[in-house]
Parts: sequence; structure tokens; C-alpha cells
Amino acid sequence: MTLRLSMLVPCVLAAVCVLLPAPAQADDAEQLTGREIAQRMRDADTSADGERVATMLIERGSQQLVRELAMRHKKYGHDERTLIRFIEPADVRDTQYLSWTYEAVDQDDDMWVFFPTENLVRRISGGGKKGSFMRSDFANEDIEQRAVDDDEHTLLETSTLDGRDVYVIESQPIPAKARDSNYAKRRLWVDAERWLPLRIEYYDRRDRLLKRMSQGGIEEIDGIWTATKIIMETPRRGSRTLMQYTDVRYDLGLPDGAFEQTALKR
Amino acid sequence: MTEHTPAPGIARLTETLVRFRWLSLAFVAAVTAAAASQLPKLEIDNSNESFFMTGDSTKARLDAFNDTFGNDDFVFVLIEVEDAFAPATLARLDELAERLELEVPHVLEVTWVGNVEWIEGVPGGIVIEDLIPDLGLPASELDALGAKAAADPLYRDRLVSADRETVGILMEFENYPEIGIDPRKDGPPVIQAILADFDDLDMHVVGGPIMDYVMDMSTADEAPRWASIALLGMVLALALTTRSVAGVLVPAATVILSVLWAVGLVAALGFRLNLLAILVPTLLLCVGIGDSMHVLAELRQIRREGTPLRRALARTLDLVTKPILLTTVTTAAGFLAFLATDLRPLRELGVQAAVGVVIALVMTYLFAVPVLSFGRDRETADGSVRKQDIFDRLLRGIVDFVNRRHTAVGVGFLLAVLLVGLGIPRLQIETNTIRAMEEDHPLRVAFEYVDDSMGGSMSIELVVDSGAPDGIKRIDLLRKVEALQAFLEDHPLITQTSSVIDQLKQMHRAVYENRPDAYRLPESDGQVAEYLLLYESGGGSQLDQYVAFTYDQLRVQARTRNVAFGEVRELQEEIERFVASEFGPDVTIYATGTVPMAQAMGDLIAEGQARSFAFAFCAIAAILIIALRSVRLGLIAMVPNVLPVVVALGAMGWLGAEFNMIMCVLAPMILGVAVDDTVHFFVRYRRYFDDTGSYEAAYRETMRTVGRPLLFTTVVLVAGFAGFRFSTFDGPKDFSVASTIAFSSALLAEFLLVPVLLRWLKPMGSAASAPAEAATAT
Repeated sequence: MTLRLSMLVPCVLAAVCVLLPAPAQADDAEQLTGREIAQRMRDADTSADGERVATMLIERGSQQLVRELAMRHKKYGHDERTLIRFIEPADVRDTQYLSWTYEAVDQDDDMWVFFPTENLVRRISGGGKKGSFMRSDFANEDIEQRAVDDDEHTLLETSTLDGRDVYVIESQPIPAKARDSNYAKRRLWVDAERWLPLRIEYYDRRDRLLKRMSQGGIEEIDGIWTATKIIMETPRRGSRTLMQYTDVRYDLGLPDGAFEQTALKR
Repeated sequence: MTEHTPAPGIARLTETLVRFRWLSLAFVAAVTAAAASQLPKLEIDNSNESFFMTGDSTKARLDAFNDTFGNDDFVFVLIEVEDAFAPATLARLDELAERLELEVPHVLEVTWVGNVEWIEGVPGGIVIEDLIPDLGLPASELDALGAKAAADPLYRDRLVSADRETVGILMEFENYPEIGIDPRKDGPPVIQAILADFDDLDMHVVGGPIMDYVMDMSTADEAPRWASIALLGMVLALALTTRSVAGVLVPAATVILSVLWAVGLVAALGFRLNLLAILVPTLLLCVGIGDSMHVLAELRQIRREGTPLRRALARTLDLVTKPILLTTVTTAAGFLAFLATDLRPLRELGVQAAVGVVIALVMTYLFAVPVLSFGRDRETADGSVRKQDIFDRLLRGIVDFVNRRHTAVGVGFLLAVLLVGLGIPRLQIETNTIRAMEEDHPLRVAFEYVDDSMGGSMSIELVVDSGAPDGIKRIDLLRKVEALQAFLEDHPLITQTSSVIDQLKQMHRAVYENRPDAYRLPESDGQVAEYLLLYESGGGSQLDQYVAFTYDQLRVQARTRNVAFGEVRELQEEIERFVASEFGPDVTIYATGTVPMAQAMGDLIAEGQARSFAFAFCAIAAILIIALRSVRLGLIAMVPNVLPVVVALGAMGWLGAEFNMIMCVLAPMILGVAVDDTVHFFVRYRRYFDDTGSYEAAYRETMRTVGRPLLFTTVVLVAGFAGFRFSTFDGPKDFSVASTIAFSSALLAEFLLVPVLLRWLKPMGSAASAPAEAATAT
């Protein structure tokens, strides 16, 4: 089991789906398989590194929580290192998570947490993948970068959504991964030009709609198409979370040292 | 005796009823058909919450709790095994858990040792993983994991017993959608069906939805049984006492039709039935039969005197209309007294029964009188005096005895009432539904199994409200909550507690590499916030259950065994004292959950009993005073109604019965029903006193004419209430015994005590001047 605290980081990645250099043509669309579409989504982010500030507004009934995080990432081939520093709430300011995630399905991710009050770093291993991400509507697994072959992908149809051409695909976890997921399947509406998922619906094993995610505020930043607003709703609980990205920057030449555990205490 | 000429109004009424009898019967048939068509709409609801009125503070607290910490409903399946962590057992349990998760409606989460998380400190780090990463691990590894789980306070006696011979599968539910009739009822039948497929496992099932489901099933099962047995008893009693086909069929048909109308109306108005409301049909069978019995008894008596049928009918109605109108009003008032309570089922029962009583009166005129008008006049040709039977001889013997030994009878009666009444303080209020079940009832067995093997089946939920967002992250407050938890765990009634304190201690220990001495609260507010963040980021599946969304409230759950009401009260008071002394005014703590709900119900029962009795007493006394046109007479008339309440409750106290919600129905109902005898007795007594001017003669004549119907209606009532004895719950059984005692003592009070009181107190003046005074008064 891999630790999915590392998903803190992939918040970035999930939201930062990037346009491929060559947009899909209508006649290409019919030739792509579900897996190829998933692969194009995965490959869309062409940046070497980046940073951003994420603000989460979590609403449940009339109550609200606000979370603010500063996030950095750097790619090492298909692997990636990410650093998250908490800004809000104030009582956990400067708490940091560092994670190294690996594409190889048989390699566990590495993760460290820094507690500023005790000036303590601890390595964390293990799960929590299905758990809620910081009490929001996102589960940890929603915001992780899923390996393409963790799921079987089926192209359902080509369609349009909000005036955009989309592929509608259905992704079901392979049997070996089913135990680690809340979902029996996800249905994705993938922008056929920018390779961003514009909408994702999450279904449980009883084929009940659990949650619905919509991405918006799509901007081209440093040449990369980026969704800056994500709304995740849980209709049965009457709650929703708005994730907003600001100060998004790519290809900053971040030093390797910023992603070492020794950097956490600095 | 003077033969009264029917009042003009009564004569016209009789004539109209007889002339349009076919029309009247057709109308009854049509309404009955309409009522019957409504019966399939009847719904049953036995949830504890259904007992509380909208806006009730107890229910409001539970709603607030559910809003903050999620639906508190759960179903717990306990399985007796040789070793919960044996590979074959785990595999079988996994199949069961899987099916429960996949098939049971509204399930939010199914938790068992096969899917729980494990947090552990290791040198330099923290491991967060599934307790059993793979169910296919070798037996020795599973055994080691079992030892770990059974030793951990987070799982021991929650999901697995310390000896690993009992393992639990916990189902928690989402907040039910506001669709369908009652989504809460969707799960239990599916659960039962799934468990039936696992009959190789020795299982017990507990939890609110299951309890309500079983209660609903019992309710649906018992109501027709009670009513059938009541009807059978009444028919037998009618046959024994009237010895005529008409004497059985007319009252029985009248009351059955009345009950059909009443239940049809209840269904049409959308009321739900519960264990209390299903008393209504049987209650109505019993109390509704009196009107037609009195009509029939009077008619037969008058016809034996040779009076032609229609004239006899008119005379009968002239004699009985006023008393049965009065008895209807007083009985309805007795039932409406339940409106003075704050318990919803009791209020509904009051309204439904009152409406039913009025329907029984209407049915007597629309159905019984038209049917009786079909009799043939030749039957009266003999003009004979009925042969005296055992009942006549009994009644005459009573009259002779009372007239001869009135002082001894009066004093003896009052002393006996006093002695029996001394049992009242022995009655203990009890609202624990499980304890009211028969000892071998599967649900009771299951609850007691949980008590014995898994640390308690009931819970008290304490919500600590800091009053500010993030307030519960303050270490000073958490230390007080830790002290509260320690206090609770020391209490003999509480088996275990849980709160976010446990998670914080667990995280602290994990951060400090699993050192046992690190199993304690962190030192500072900052550490608390960071550990909570780590917990919530690492999955933190239980956080929502123990900490409010905005961190302003936390929940402490204390589990108890299946405790009695009295113990609950003491426990709650002790907690309140501790909270008052340890927590400052800026922190609010309230209690909810099954235990406080049961206690609140008990308080409502106690208050409701007192208020409804007072209300019924005042209403019925006022009606009697107005009807009898004498304050003294009205108050004397209350004596034979109040004494049966004292006798019944006292006797139940001596018999060791518990005072539950059904018994709460008792006192106002006795008042409302016993007063029927009084009304018939006093109205007739007054009439004969006006005629004779003699208390003794009036008593003798009253007993001669209404003594029989009063005796018979009481026999029929008691026979009808016997239906409640065939229940699987203590409440209806005790109710049956108490009713029998009450109605019997009411009749005895009427026959023995009332004539003595009237003779002693002379409320209608002295015997010589009485006729003149009475004439003036009326």
C-alpha cells in the first residue's frame, strides 16, 4: 500500500492537466481508445517543475472551513517530488509534507511530515488512500496522480460539454487496485483538445453516484492549460469543496535540495 | 314504578331512525367500505424519535447531534466464533461484510477487523495501513494481528472481544434521504435476508433500526391478535351474560363497525401506528360496546313488560340517550386528556380513541337501533316477567347486604382501597424497551449478548461545545474532557468510552515511535492542531464522528449495559454534577443518545401521567357536575372513578410491575371508562330517587334495572382487555392485569360504595323531602 498523503501534492497534478502540443482532430477522435485518452491526460503536463497556492473552501450545510496551502513540485522522469506547506489554518502554519511518488506500481511512495511545534520530522508510510482529504469532499485518491494502468479505460462516446468537444470515458480500477479505492468506476468528460477532465463522476460498487467534480477557470499559464477552479460535490451529504489555484507558475528551475527531507526544518 | 312517556324529541328521533332504517344501514355499509379501503395505508412507526413532539428539546438535541456527527443509527452484527482471526473465519466474515456493504440500503460504511486502519509508530516514522493488509496471509501472521487488535483499546470490545471469540461487523448509515415512506426501514429486512444466507454462523444483531424493525413486526403481528382475542372474549362474555343471538351479534357488529370506521379514519388522516396506537382498536372494541349493550339490555327489559317494539325502542332511547351521550362525552374527555402530555403517540392515541368513542355512539344509533327495529312484535305477546337468574340473585343479594350493613361495607371498602393504594410508591418508571421483552425474545437475547461480550449495547453521547471554531483544539479543554472520560470509565454503569482524545493519544504515541509512555495527550495547542492535521490527512476516518466540522464541538461516547430507568437518572445526575464542577461557564455540554432519550421519555411519561390524569379528572368532574346538576353529587360520582385508579396502580405496585408508556394510558383511561358505570348508575338512581324519595329504594331499583348491564359491560370489558395478555411485551400484559383490576374495582365501588356514600351524604336531600327538591332541581 502506498501512502497517499502524497496526494496533497498531486492536487496540483490532477488539476493541472495540460494541453498536448497537437490538438485532437475530429477524425482522430474516433480512432483513440479509452487507454490512449487516459495516457494523453497523464502526459499533458509538460512542465519540469512548478508552484502554486491552493485555497480550499469546504462547505457543509451553513458551515465553512478554509484551507490554504503553498505547493511546489519537480519531476524526475515519470517520478515526482512535491512539497506542501500549510498557510491556513493558522494553528498548523508551516507544517510541511514532502512526498516522492513513483510511477512504478510496485514501488511505495515516500513521505515525510514536519511538525514545527516540536521541530520534528517523521517518515510516514502506509495508507489512508480512501480517506477524506483534510475534511474536504476530495478523497486522497481523488487528487493523486493515478498510474494509467491502475484502471481499465473504456471510451463510451464522443460528445460536447459546455461547447467543448469531449471524450466520455469510464475508468474502472483493475482488480488488484479495487481494494484501495472508494469507487467502482469513474466517468470522465475529457476535453478533446486540451486533455483536461472537465467533469468526473464517481460511482460506488452499487453504481450509486457518490460525487461529482467539475473543473473550470481554465487558463493557459506558461504555455500549459491549467484548471484554476475545481468544485467537488457530494450530493448525498449536501457538501461541496471549491479548490482555487493562484500564483501558478511553471518551469522555475527549482533546486533538488528543496525536495530533500533535510530541507523541511529549514 | 312510573312509566315515563318518551320525550317528544326522542320519539321523533326513534321514528326517523326506524323509518329510514334501510337508508341508514346503506349509509353505514358505504362508509364501512370506504373505511376498509383506507386500511392498507396504515403505517407502523416504533422509533424512539417518533415518541417526541416536533420541537421537543430532546429530539432537537438528537437532530443537532446527527447534523454535527452524522447519523447515529447503526446496526451491529455479532458473530460467535472459535477464533476471529482464523483464516477460514476471516474469509467467511469477509463474504458477509461484502454483502452487507453491497446490498444493505443507505449503508455509509461497514467496519470490521478485516478493513480497519492501523496507526503505529516505528523508529523514525509512522505507519498507517490496514490492520490486515491481506486476508490471505499465513495463519501465524493473522494470529499475530489478532493478538494486536484484541489488545488495542480502539478495537478491543468494539470490533473484537478480548478472547477473540466474538467479532463484530458494524454498519453505519448515511443521513437518510428524504424520499420514500421511511428509508430507515429499508435496511433491516435486507440485513435479515443476508444473515439468513450465513446460517452456519452464530449471529446476534442489535441496533436502533433492527430494534424498531422487530418492534414494527411485533406491532403488526400483535395488533390483530389482541383484537381477535378481545373479540372472542367479548363474544363469549356476551353469550354468557345475554344468552341470546341478538345480544351477541348486535353489540359485536356495532363495535366492529365502529373500530373499522375509526381505524379507517386514522389511516386516511395519515397517522402512523406504534405499540401504543395499536391499543386503539382493542380499546375501542372494549369501551365502544357499552352503548349498544345498554340499548339492547334496556330494550329487552321493556319489551318483556309487553311494550310493542317501536314504542319500546322509543322508551329505551328515552332512558339511555342521556346516559350514553354523557358516557361518550366523559370517555372522550378521558382520552382527550392525553393531549395534556408531550408524548406524541399518547396524544395521537387520545385523539384516535376519543374519535372512536364518538363513532361508537353514532354507530349505536345508525346501525344498532335500525337493526333492532327489525324485531317482531309477537315476541312480546307473553308479556312475561323474565325468569330470575343467577345475576339477578347476585345483584339482589348485594343490595340486601349493602342496605343491611352499609357502615361496615363503606368503612371496609375504604380501608381496603387505602391498603392497596399503599403499593403505588412501589411502581418504578421503566422506559427500556428491551427489558420489557420476554426473556427469550431473540432481540433481548442479542442485546444481552452484546452487554456480556462486547461492552454494552446502549450509549450516552456527551457533546462538548467550546462555543468557538477550533475551540476543541485547546489543550486545557481537552484535559478536562480527558478527566470527564476517566470519570465516566470509573462509573460502574459505564463499560467504555471513546472520543478524539483516544485518537490524539494514539497519534502522540505513533509520533514518539510507539513508546507506551507516549500514549497521552500532547503538551500544547500547537501539537494538538498538528496531530489532528496528520490524522485527517492520513485518512482520519473517525474524525467526523468525534469532532465537529469546524472543531467547535467534540463528542464523548460512553457505552453502558442495558440499564434500568432509575439507574439512568442517577448516572445523568452524577455526570451533570461532574460537568458543573469541572467545566467553566463558557463550555456547554449536553447529553443525547439512547440512554438520555430513554430518560427523557420516562420524564415525559411521569409528567404526562400526572397532567393527563389531572386534566381528565377536572374535565370529567365538570361534566358530571353539570350533568347531574349538583356539585355534591358530581363530586360523589367521582369517588368510584378515582378509587379504581388508586386500586389498579397500587395493586400493580404490590405485584412488582414497572410503569412504562403503555401503563401511562391507564389512569386517564380508567377514569374515562369507569365513569360510564357511574353515569348510568347516577342518572338512573336520580330518576328513581325522584320517583320514590327513598335512597334505599332508588338503590334497589337502580340495581334491578342497570345492575345487569353494568355487570355485563364490565365482564365484557375485562374479557376484551384480556386480549392484551397475549403480548410478547410486559407493557400490554401489565396493562391487561391493571385494567381488569380497575374495571372490577370500579364496578364494586359502584355497587357497594356509592349507595353507602349517597346514603351517608344525602346529596339529594333527606328522603322525605326529596321528590319535591328533585323536581325543583330538574
